[in-house]
Amino acid sequence: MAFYFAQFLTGLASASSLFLVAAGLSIIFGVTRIVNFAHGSLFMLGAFIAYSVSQHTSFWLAVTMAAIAVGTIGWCMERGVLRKLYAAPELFQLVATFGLVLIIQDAALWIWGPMDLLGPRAPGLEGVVRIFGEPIPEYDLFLITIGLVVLAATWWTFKRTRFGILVRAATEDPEMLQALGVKPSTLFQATFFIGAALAGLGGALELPRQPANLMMDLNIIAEVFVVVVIGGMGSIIGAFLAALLISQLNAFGILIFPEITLVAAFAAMAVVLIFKPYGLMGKLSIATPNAVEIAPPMTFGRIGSFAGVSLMIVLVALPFFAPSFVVVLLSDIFIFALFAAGLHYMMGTGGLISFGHAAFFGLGAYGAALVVKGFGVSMPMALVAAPVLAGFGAIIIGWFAIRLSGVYLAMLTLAAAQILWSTAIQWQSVTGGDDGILGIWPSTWATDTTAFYYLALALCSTTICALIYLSLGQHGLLLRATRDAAPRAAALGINVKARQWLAIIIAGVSAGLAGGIFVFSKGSVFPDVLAIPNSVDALVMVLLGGLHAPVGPIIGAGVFALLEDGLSRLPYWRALLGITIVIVAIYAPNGLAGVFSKLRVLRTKST
Amino acid sequence: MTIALEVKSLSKNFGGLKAIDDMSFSLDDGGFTALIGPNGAGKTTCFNLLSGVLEPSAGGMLLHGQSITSMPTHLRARQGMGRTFQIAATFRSMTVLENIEVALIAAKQDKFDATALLDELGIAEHTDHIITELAYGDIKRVELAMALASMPSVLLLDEPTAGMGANERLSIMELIARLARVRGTTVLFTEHDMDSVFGFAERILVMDQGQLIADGSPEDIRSNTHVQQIYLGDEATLDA
Ligand SMILES: Nc1ncnc2c1ncn2[C@@H]1O[C@H](COP(=O)(O)OP(=O)(O)OP(=O)(O)O)[C@@H](O)[C@H]1O
Ligand SMILES: [Mg+2]
Repeated sequence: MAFYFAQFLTGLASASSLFLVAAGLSIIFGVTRIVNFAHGSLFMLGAFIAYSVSQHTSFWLAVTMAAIAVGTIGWCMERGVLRKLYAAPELFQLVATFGLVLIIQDAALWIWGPMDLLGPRAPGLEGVVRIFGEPIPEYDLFLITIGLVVLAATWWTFKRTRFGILVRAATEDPEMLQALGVKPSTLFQATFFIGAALAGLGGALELPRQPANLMMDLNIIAEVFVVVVIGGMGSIIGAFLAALLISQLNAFGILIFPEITLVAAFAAMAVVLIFKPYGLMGKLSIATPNAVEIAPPMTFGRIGSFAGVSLMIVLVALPFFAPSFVVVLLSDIFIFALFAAGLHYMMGTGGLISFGHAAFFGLGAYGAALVVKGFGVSMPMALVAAPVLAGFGAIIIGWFAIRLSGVYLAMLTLAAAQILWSTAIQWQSVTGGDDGILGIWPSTWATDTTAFYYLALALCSTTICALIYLSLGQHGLLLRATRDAAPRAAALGINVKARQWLAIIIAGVSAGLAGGIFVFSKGSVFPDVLAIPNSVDALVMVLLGGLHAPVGPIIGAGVFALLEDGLSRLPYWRALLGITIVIVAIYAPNGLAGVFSKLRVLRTKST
Repeated sequence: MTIALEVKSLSKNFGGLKAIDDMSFSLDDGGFTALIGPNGAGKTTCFNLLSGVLEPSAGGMLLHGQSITSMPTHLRARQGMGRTFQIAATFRSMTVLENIEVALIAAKQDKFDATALLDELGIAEHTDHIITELAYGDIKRVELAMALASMPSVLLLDEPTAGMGANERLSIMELIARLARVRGTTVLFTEHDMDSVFGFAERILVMDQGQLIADGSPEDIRSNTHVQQIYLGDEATLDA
């Protein structure tokens, strides 16, 4: 009994930092309607900054300064990037904050280096107290108190201060602000400062419990997303309750199911979403901008078809004269173009944002590897199993996803992928954990580089063409109808949810096939295929190519692969990628296809 | 005369507000009925309940004798319930013709003459234009065309001529009335323009603060003192 009580207190202590970060995210969302993916990064910066400052002065001063410094960084983020995006479709807001994640990660690597940094213990709270005979760290009790204090303080601020009333007004009805005569930009900056400072405080306070490290950002953001989805966006009480729930699930889940604790969190989220799609405390209708820009598909008419056919001819002829490293690189590009094409279908044509497309790629990859290792099947069978398993994953994830939209969808997909990723790491007996699964080689007829090249070309180009055909045909027309005006589509007799579900399944199956081919091209699979950076790569390819151009993923994958090939040897390649993402989101929302079509319009005008 | 749509003790609360308060009425097959009332009376909310955009707090409704109270919007549409929205909803990434195509595919209509309809509505010249290039009045027409193209048996029109000039209103209302007569469609429409209401409706339902306060022929409504009270400032329009 005493042991369980101790475990309960540990859970409460972890709930505190989770709550601080989730509360900050939630307040910022309430006022600005932006889900700040970089909120986990602010948490991480809080820990690093507190570490550095505590080297020179007392821990408590370091914590305070870290919170203020991170608040200021949040303020700069708002000034520099986000305020250019308030009117942009949700996707670009999300993507831009994701770019910031990459930039901050490399900045932290550059400043603090790759090593974990062990911080000081909290002076005065180094000891333990015995409760029912179990040792409880004093610091844990302190954290529990802080969580409650912050809850009480935010509660008071919201009820009693002018700032709090404005924030509530903005959260409930953005138009009311103008009526109250408040300049939104001032309120937005203040909100960003406070939200970021809370995250920084949370990170700084983690220092005595875990060393500052570069994994903190993505680790916490996935959990925070689960928390805000369960609690309901914009609700502080909701965030608190959900943080408690998740932390307790983790604290006790580790006793029952040490292998896959995050699965419990996902299961909790699933249950809540079934009964309360907008979270425990969430308001039903938070009006949000369009998920993606509503625009017709960008096609390039006869020039486009001509370019497509020529490209195909060149690709078929290529192995006869190109050096083998080009052949290998191209095989990879085909796989990634297919990976991106599925995402493009659901996101561009369907307006369904996903930040976890790697989930399907990874399911396909592990599916193929597992049937080869477990049942000894041959490559063709494994290439059937890959999309089938990914399709099942898409059926399940999609079932939840279609209950949500916009930012909720982005958070759910990211959390789902992150949970699969941690499952792949933790479920060693099946997935081999970090060691992955090795020795998955193609059938003998396809082991040769050129043969494999043709196999990848055939499978990928057929599937991509099928996706383009779908998105430009009747199927795509109906899907676009659900994206453009869902109530209108439903009133005409279109089953909106079913169409969206189908789009997610199609996207999942395509990504799964890509993942399957990928395993045979590498001969192995590691948890990386499920990790956030892989999802981001798919996003970047889609956006780089152009969200509204059916051929966008091909262009995007090609350019991305060349960039990666050329630049990934640079030490801060991820930050470059992040900067690219931010620039594309702000200045070139239609990607390269958009730039190309603009040039074409200019040229037609000048002649 | 059979009943196309029957509404039974329908209520809808938004928090403490009774937006629809125990409303009951039925529409005969093929009737052309107006639903009027001052701003905020609950007309749009009523349409949202009938088409399934909102769930009622109490009560229910039958479409051709079949209960549709818990049926999702798209199934109601497939049972013959069509509507337009007060703020015209169209597919903004598509051309006018594609918008109609979506309606036709959804309704499984393959012999419908879309061009003729667009011609009658006076937007034939815009057939291949993207919706966003059109003026609001024309967007309203496109939405109407979509609703008509799906051949509904009961059609709810929320301010079908809002944002149009007096002459345009007249011709659009005439067109709707004629098509409804030819097809035998049951129409319920809301409108603030009293010329359209008294000039075309065979029957008028009047709402105020969520309640149905009058129901009768245009003559009955014109002489109804309760209605005149509510429209006090608008007496002139009522008499017109
Ligand atoms: N989703 C909603 N949430 C809360 N209140 C609502 C909602 N929709 C409508 N209302 C309220 O319900 C009442 C009825 O609104 P409704 O839009 O049905 O009126 P209406 O008769 O269509 O008015 P108008 O002629 O201006 O279009 C109004 O007081 C409105 O503010
Ligand atoms: Mg209305």
